[in-house]
Amino acid sequence: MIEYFRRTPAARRTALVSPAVGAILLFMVLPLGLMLIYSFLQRATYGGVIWTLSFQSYIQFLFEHDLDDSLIFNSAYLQIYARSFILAGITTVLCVIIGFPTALYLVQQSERRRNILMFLVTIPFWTNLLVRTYAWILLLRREGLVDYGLQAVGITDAPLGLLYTDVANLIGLVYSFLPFMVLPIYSSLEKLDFRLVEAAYDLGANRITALRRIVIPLAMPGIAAGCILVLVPCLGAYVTPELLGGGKALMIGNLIQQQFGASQNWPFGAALSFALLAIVLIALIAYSLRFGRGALTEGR
Amino acid sequence: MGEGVGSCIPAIEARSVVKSFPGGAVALDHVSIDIRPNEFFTLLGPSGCGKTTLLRLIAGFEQPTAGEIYLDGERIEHLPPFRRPINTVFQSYALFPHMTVGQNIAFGLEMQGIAKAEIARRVAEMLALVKLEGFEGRKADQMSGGQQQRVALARALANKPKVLLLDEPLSALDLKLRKEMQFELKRLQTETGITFVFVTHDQEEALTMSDRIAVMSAGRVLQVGAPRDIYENPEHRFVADFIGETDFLDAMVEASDDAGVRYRLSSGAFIDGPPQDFNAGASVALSTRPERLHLGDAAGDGLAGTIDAVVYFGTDTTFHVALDGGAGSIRVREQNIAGKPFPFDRGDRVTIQMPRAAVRAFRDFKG
Repeated sequence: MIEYFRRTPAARRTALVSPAVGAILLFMVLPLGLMLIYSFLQRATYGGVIWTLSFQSYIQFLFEHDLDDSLIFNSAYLQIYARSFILAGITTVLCVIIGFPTALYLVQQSERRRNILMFLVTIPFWTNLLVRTYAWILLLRREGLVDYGLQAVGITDAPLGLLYTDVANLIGLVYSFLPFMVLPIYSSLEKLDFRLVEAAYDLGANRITALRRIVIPLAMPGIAAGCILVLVPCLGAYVTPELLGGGKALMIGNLIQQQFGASQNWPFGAALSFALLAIVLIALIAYSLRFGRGALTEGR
Repeated sequence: MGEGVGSCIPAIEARSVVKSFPGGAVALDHVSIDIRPNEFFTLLGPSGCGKTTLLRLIAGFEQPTAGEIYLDGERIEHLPPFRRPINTVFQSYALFPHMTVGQNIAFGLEMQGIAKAEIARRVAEMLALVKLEGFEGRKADQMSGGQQQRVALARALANKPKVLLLDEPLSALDLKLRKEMQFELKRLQTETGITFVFVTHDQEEALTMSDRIAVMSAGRVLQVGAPRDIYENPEHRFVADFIGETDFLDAMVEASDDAGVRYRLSSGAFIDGPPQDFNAGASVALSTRPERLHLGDAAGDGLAGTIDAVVYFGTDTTFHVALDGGAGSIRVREQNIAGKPFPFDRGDRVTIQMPRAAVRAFRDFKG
């Protein structure tokens, strides 16, 4: 048996990848498939589903029933999607603006310093997101540390009351997703040959031009990867908008959670999830068509 | 006025330039050189001698710790690289991988704000100059090392710099291509009339290409001169050792006058050399070049010894001879003549004929 695997490369490959494939099948494809099926079923009154085919959930996403039971267009859910995309988009842009200079600074440090700083960047991963988000509540709440600090240095003269606003939500999102932007940009900048920057200086480019014409284009794979790593999970963010946005400013994640929780409408929750998945997939396919095959996997 | 006076101003002048790095390492120790306009000037030395540091100071990638650098008589050491009319060909070529060959060459021209049509014309002109017509649309990684080298040259020359710096540009090429590019570089320099400052550790490269060579060691310039001058009249033991093949023998000055110097080896044998400024009794290092010596049979006149090894090189054969009395070992190179094998072999007793002009002595200290 062992001899067989040793001799046959194809069999060996199959044997080696099968645990990973098995895990993906069991923990991703199976639950997703279940969700897909749920989205086409009828809701049961107290949660769960009734096994009857129904397109009601997808209809509900775009329409509502009028008093005379005719369907009229309802943009409420689309608005939540739109605001999620806007918030996720702003978060991504802010993460690039903060993350790129950070990564650029990191790669220019000595090896020893770089390792320490990289360790600091990854430190947030060591504690639970929930705990870290609660810490932001303490910072952002009315007359919290942020208010106190701003007033102490005289920038503001009244409490801002940032908590439970979109600003608080954005701060929390940028905070929690920033490392996912820094790390891929760092790894693409680390591969960048800084002699190319010297060559650009040599040919008459100043710092800004060298950055624009040489560094940023060559770091583009990292920037793109970072944007995907921030944008996609940010769309489905749940903890941050729930705690810092106060659940008032709904994002897609909160909406889906509500359907499985308070509203007890599992098929609708499943349909909402699949609408999001479809949008993200279309965006990623468009991206890889634009930047060529392997753009996502090879980072080119 | 005019030409005569103008040519007196060096293209590049370094005045007691010092470069030390944090941690105390001194890369350049009061280096002063003049590089003449339109000259092919080579900085030659082993790795770590400071030649690349000097080049980077001229390019502007690093600032001198002390001293001054002039370009056409104007101080430039405070200017950033993009304000100096100097361009560099990097050892690694440093071609921009996300741009085509044409875009690479156009980069410097774009930085100068030259009009598009003019840029296109200059790019075509540069491609013709380095014989790469038709490669404009290629990416750097689709080209061979030799071609990349040419693109790097075209890119650096496109801006018509006053001085072109070349940092060991040929070291990554194989021997045949390197010979070709040596010739090519010399042609480009003659055609463009641009001052070339070439850095290499390859003495043969330096000798064949340069108008003048500066030999560097441990952060200092030991000797500056034409290739023949450096080869035939090395002023330091290091220069003699680094350029060409040289053997050293420990010796004492037995007698010294206007007619010549007589040296005594540790074995007691005497060697006569041309006049040099030594006092009798001084201990020196005698240097000889293998190609200046000849072998004679045991009964002949000269230093006696035994052949230790025979190394065949195709065009010539090198004999390693252990001198009698433990005075040392020197090499003698004889040209091979077709159909006429040399009458000596390993273990044979021989004498070495040493013309007076082939002997040169250095005060006995290293460097």
